[in-house]
Amino acid sequence: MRRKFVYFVLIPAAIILLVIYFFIDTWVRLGLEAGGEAAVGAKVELEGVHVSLSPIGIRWSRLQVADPHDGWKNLFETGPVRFAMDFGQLLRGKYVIHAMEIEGLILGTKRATDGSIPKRGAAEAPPAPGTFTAGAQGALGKVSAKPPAGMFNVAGLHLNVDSLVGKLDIQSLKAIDSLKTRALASSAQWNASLADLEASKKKLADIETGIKSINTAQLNSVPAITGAISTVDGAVKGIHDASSTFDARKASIQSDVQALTASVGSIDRVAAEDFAHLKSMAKLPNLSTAGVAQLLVGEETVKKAETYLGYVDWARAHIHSSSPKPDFTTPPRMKGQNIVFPLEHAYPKFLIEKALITGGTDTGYSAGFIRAKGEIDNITNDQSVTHVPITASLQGVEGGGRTFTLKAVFDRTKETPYDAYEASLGNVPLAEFPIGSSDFLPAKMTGARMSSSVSVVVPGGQFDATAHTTLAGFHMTYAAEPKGVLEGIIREVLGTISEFEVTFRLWNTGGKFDMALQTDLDEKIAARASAALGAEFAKAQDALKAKLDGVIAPKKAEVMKLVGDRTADIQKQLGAYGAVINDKLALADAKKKELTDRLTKQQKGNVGNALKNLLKK
Amino acid sequence: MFYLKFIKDFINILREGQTPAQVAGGFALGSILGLSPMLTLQGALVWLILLAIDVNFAAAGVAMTLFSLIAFIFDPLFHWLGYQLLVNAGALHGLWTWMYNAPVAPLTRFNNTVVMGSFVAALVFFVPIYAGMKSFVVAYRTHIHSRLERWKVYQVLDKSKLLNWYRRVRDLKG
Repeated sequence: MRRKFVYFVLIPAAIILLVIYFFIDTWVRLGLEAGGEAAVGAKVELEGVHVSLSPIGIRWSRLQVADPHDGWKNLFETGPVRFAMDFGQLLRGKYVIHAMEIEGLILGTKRATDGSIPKRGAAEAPPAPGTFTAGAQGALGKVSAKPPAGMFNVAGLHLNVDSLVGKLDIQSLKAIDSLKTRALASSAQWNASLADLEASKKKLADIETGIKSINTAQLNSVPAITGAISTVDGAVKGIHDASSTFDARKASIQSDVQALTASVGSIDRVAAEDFAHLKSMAKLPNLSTAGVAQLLVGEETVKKAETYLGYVDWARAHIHSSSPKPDFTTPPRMKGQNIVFPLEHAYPKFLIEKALITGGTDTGYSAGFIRAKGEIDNITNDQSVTHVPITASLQGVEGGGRTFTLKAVFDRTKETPYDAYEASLGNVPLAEFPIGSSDFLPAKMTGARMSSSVSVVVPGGQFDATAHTTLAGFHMTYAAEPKGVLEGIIREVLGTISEFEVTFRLWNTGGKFDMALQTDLDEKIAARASAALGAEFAKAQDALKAKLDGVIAPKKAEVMKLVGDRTADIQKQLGAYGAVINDKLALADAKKKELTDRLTKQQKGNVGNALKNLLKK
Repeated sequence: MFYLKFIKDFINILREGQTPAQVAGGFALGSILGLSPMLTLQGALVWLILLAIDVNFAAAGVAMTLFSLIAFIFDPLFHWLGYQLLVNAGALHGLWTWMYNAPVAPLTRFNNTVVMGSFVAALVFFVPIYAGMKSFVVAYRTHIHSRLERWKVYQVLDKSKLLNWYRRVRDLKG
């Protein structure tokens, strides 16, 4: 062998291999920890890392991933993990793991050291624009920790009724004055109409005289009788003309009467509105319990919602879409930009086809935490190559009866990303669960057991999440004495129940984020509030009503009497005039019949005389 | 002296020797090689054509040099053109994907924006360059050269060092 080859190639190569052999485990550990910390934003610690060459793979004995929101807790930790990489794909620069075994996945364990990584910049950065967290800020910001002004504020029920009614701009009185004016104006019009009708009464009297002056017995010839019938027909026509005029006047007057009567009825509606206005001026307590849920669990729910929205945003940011258009960059001259197209039957740069997670059997320090088992499939950096979404299905149990399930899909195989999560957490003991706020009912629930189910669907830019949480078996600890009736009522209600449910929904399917939050305590609190406030409430209301009625009623009675008198009078006069017309018509009809009969008789007599004269001849 | 010889051959060939079509063909093929910035399958194919058919090699060399400079200057434009064709031309996306998955096509490096942009530009300008160069050679041989010699400026420069250098280069013995 050439000596130079030994000195300059073989010996350096051996030294390099030795260095790699002794330090590769450390280098790999540092690399994995650095990559993990960059992704999670909190400390990632690996223990017992070992790189094997045949088959080429990595294993470690323990992994801890700190919670970025609470450095003294782990998001999760694992026991031994081992996996082998596809050597053929590794030569092509691709990290393909067909199966990874993860033992002892435990959620939420405590840490011995702080796992948070100091963020650059003093203040916590606001959520990045375009994220779901940022979009939901408006809706979540509506959650109020203070009760609305006047809500159950019975202490303010010492009313100065006279002053309140004095300040009220009473619309009923205006309506009554207006009605009175209208009634008087209508009455004047009616009187004018009646004067016209009186004039026509004289005409009717003349007609009557004319009809009566016809003495049927003295009419001995047909021409005299037919002349009298013509006179009666003319009289009937005159009566009908007067009747038509009367009908038109009567219709107009009846319309006025109906309008005035309706206006009288509307005074009660205006008076009711006045009373509602008066109640609002008096700030009578609102017995609606809408918003109680926000007061009780709003702050805590918003905190949790923001945390989970952060996870959704993390998934969106780190699991890349299938075929995004690459951004136009400015590469160095003559280098260009390589555009990647979907590959068929190929592996992506990074792929874990199946990660099998076993719960482990440790009964030591971690026995009190939830152990998860299940599998996560198709973890990759490019779903356009694998054509399958990332799926996760985990179940967890704990000796204390706690249960946990999580199913998730992260689909980036199409241009529009789609995420879906379903999770449930059952019978979890809570050390403490804060309710209320520093401004309203500051309290803590201790010893509660919580069960939750969460469903989140995130298709594209849309978002719809619903969470049901049941808190049971709790004991309340209040930080201060109740400051108002509402606080007292809620304390009473919480003292009588052993569990309650909170339902929270956050969605942006209409384009803008909206939120709904309610508890099943609402009805109980409303019923208790009604019982506690009912008597005071009714008394105050009655006092206001009596005072307002005292102002409105006399005026109302006055105008009702005016309208009643005028309408009764006009109806009476109209009735009398109608009777006169009917009398005249009856008289004319009777005279005409009499004349017609006389005409028939006369005509028959004339025919008989003619026959007698004919026979005589 | 390699480049000087190339230039000398080119100047000579403008005056006499191979046909205008052969000179223009070499020049046009050289323009494709000059515009393409990297070693690619299509570049090798053009080299093969250049070596296989009877075109002027000196003209190809001059064109390669000239169009390499042009490619450098217009690189951002070629990058933009390639990006538009590869990313924003939706109708071509299927073709690119098919080529990307084909066994040999990736060797063309067609998915590189500069390669795509410059190659398309070279193909578009191939015929105009060929026709233009052919017309220029014909014109040069018939009257441009003699007309140049009659210009006063030419006569002034005739005795200048620059023209002496030109002549030395022109008359170099190959």
